[in-house]
Amino acid sequence: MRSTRTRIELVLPPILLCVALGCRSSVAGPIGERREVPPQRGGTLHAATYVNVRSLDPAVAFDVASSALEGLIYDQLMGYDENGKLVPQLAETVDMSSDGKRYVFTLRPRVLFHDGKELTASDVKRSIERSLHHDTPCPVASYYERIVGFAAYHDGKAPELTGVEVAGSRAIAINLSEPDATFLHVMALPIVTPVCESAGRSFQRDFTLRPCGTGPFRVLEYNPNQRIRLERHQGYWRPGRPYLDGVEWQLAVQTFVQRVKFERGELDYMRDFSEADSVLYRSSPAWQGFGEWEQPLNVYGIFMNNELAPFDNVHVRRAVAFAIDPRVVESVYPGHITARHRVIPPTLLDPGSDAIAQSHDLGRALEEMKLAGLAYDPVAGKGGYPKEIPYLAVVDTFAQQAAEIFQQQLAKIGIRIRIELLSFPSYLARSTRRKNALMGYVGWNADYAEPSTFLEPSFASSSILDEESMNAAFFSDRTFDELLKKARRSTDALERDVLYRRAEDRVLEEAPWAVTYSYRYFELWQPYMHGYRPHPVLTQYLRNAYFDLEQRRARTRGDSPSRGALAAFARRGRGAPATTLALSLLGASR
Amino acid sequence: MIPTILRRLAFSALTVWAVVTATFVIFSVLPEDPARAVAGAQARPADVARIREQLGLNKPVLARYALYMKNLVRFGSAPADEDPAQTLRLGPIRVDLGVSYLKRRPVVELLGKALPPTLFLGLCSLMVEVGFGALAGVIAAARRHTPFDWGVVAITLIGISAPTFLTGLLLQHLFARELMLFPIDGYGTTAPEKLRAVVLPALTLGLFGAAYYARLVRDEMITLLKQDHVRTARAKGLSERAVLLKHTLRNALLPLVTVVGLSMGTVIGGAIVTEKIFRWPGIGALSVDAVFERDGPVVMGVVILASLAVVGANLLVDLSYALLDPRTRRQ
Amino acid sequence: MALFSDPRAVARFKKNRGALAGLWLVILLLAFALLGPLIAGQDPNLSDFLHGRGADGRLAGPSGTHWLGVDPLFRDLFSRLAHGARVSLVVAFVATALSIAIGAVVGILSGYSEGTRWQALDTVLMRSVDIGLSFPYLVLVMAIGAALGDTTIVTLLLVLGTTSWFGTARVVRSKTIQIRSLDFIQAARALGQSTQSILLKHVLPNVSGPLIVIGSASVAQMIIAESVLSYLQVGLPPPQATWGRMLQEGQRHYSLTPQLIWLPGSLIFLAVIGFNLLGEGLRDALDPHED
Repeated sequence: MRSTRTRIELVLPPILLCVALGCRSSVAGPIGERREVPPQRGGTLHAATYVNVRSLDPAVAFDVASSALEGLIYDQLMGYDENGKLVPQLAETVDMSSDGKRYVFTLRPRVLFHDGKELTASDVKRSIERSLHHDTPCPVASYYERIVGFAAYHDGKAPELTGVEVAGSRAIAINLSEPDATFLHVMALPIVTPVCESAGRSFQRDFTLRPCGTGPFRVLEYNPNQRIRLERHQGYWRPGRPYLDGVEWQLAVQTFVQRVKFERGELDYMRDFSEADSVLYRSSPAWQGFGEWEQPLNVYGIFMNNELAPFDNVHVRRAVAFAIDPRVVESVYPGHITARHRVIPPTLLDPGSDAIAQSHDLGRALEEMKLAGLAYDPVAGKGGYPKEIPYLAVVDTFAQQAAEIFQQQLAKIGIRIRIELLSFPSYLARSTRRKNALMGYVGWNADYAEPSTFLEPSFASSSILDEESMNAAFFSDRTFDELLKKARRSTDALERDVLYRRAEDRVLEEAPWAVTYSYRYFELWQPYMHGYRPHPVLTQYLRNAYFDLEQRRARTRGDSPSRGALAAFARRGRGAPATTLALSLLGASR
Repeated sequence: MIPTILRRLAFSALTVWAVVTATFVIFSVLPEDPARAVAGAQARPADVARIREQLGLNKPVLARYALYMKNLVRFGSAPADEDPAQTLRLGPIRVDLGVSYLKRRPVVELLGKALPPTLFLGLCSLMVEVGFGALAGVIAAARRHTPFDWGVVAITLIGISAPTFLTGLLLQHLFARELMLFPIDGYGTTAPEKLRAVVLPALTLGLFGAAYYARLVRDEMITLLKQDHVRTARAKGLSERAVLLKHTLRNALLPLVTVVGLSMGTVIGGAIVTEKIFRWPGIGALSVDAVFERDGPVVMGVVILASLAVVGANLLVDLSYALLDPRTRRQ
Repeated sequence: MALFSDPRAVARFKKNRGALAGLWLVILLLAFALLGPLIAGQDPNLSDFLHGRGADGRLAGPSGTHWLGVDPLFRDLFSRLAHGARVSLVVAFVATALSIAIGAVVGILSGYSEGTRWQALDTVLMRSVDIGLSFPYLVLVMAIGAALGDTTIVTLLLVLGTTSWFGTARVVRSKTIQIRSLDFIQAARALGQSTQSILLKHVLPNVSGPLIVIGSASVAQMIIAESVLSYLQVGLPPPQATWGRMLQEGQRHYSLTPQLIWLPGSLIFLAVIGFNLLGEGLRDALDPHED
């Protein structure tokens, strides 16, 4: 080609890319106005999540992504009010015996399942037995081990769970072998939610595709990689509820795509903000006063498999804990990440002024490596652990980014990790399988607002299973187990706290985990959405949300393009110039 | 012609067998623990043990291969206790691609659900390729040494050089985000929604092909336009247009048949990135997720399906060549 | 090689602006890959929490310490791009070399035995090529990578190289058949030269022209393939800097730091265009259409 002009194809694309992807450093404003309106019926809520939901079977689904949906589909005997206080839900009244070993729940009348049948006490018993059945891979069955007859039933030796008695068509009694401070809390978990007969006597794979319970919404469509659609359960026991006609939950939507959908009014609510978008929305004047931070109770860390070398050596584990400096990780996602040094969140249990904590101390880390026989010379770069250690992380999550930083920190003490990126289900499966994963990211969200939730599933030896073991570090320590048992048995709140603290100290010393950070979401919803605030205990508790329908109609949808485009331009701030430039460039090249 | 067709058919059958065998090698011989690869990370040890027995992993390779083939293709009607969604019926044969332990559904069912969106996307992208590509190529050849020709050459170079994820992201950003003309992603539920949703992915997917064919057609046309019989036609005083249409177009478009046929086959395995970016629930998206989740049976199923599609498309192309090209017919 | 030995070809190449542009792009890219990491001197996998943070915790923009700014984990962007160039080029070149080598051997053997009493060899090889061409390339690469467990740079280029030689084989075969009928080959045969030496001394040099052209285009394709794989996060594992993954990681920051997307994006693009232009230029120089 003999063209004397500058070759367009060399110059045009980078310019186009640059300009078109230009600096849109402002966000579209809120849609509609926030007015104080009483609850209205109508509308379908649109939300999205960037992960895929693993399962909606309440007996086995135990990840945060499922919890939000379970909160819409299922009701339990106990629930939480909007302040996070434990209150009866499906039970009308709860009576506890004076010795704390017998609870009688009286069910509300005329509670209907999604399949139309009425809830009876035998349904409750059936559902509890289903979750705790020998063949059901329930990750936290041990929460219920104080129910009389649990061991025999869960091991498959008894045909029924004798501690659960049907005391009438609407009365169910549960007998415990000893008092349990956490009992009413665990009765609020979806694990023991009453499910329809279609769920069967024990875990069946198909139930997850056709979940059926007593909650405010029923499942209309479950398309595993695309979306879940829920519609109002017409027979829901609370009159007038739920307000919404339905909920549509899109799955596996990238964070930056969610933002665009939110701006276009295709999503009413959002919390999966990318790093940049989070900064933009929180600093945007138009959105001041909207949106709230979660107050989550969670903790994340690096688990180390106590049953496999080199982490069967406590010195190596301590070395890792000293080498990690989680504070720098905060800058990767400012505001969302808080570095942590203890397992139990301070709001749940005040550690006290002389508490032990894991700390960042490179010197001590190197000492511990020496004690382990793996001395490392940072100057020469020699020594340390000779083999590369595979480190499990979930692809495309913050855990992956944190892993890349921890990798740098661990290299300083002679531990080389190789990051293995897995999908979330694969990560769960491998990290909870015995003698499989050596090291990786781990996180725990509180199931209820009581310290034992942070200690028992993750660190008690009774939580160790060959498969689906919530104790991913396979940590087994007699002292710790004893302290935990005593605490749960105790009826004195102060004594309990002391025992929990000592148990936690034990975990921090033995370092099955290197504690890293806690993570919170920033939640944002359009002004026309009411009845929702981040809940103190439950994730995305959306069941009481309602719309200001008139204001909601102001939102433009993507399917009316001209109106949409124009309206979007009208709402946009400084981003307009970049766009017009792109448009004119496009015109020129035609 | 008949012997040619028979030969092609026979060869296609051979290819199908070879593909299936090669898939066996990759998925049964390569992985460290093929049973675990089939079962996926989520399966419990009891399931893995059962699969290990089913696959005959404790037996020598040839016996395993025989077992694999036996499981894959079965004759006669299904036994009563078999899930009807488990196999695909093709006349007397039943094809069983196994079960995805991750999704807990038979692979043929998953593929069956993912196939229509991919076919739809493939068809639309084909229209883009043929439409823009052939058109641009013909006109560029006819208008050589003009800015139009230069422009086509330049833009086609961009087209074949840009990886799909770049063009996809760019198109998505410009048309879906900024201009809001099309949905950002997804498949849509109603027919009009689907038509709107397919535009950007089809453009993305078709751009490479359009650029490729534009050049191909242009090159063919240029060569043909210089040939003797065309010069003769011109000398005889026929108008340029008549020259174009009568003598060159048909021959120039012949290679297009080949490449169109090939695209139809390859789109089934090839639209991976496009489907990912636009959340299009087709085979490509299915295969990426399956690879990530180490869902062995699904990946195997995709490889077999995609290869068969190419074989089938090749067969069709060869047969249409036999029909269209007088030279081969006379053989 | 045919190109350099033919002064007219060299002249044609020099006059072709597109080819020269391609050559320059490739040279610049090689320079960036070779010298970039040395000039920058920064560790591409080291997070700089001191200088990497800008106002209110945002990513620092271009500065004296970090010429192009930093990536989402505060690592030097320039170094990462330069190391990414190395990865792309190494993978592309080695995989291409592998693919060309296999393709050439198969093609020459196949073409030379066509029509002779070794026809069976040709048939078998070509049928294998047809079968190979049926496989969905990317899915196959991903699947093999997954089956082997770990993706290292060696497995990546081995897999890429061994799955992409089929087209080359076909082209080389046609060219071999063409050459085979030429006079000087007949003469060599008549003189009693062994097949081996004919193949090596006469056939191979004459197919080297098309091979170079194919090679150039193949490098471009390999760059795309590698970047697609790393974009999908099934390529080399982190923290290895590769353009595809850098682009994927940058998507979440586009509203504040768009260069995280368009820098790797443009580099991929320019690299591919460069090799495509070069390939076209070589093809035009060696085998010109008249103009």
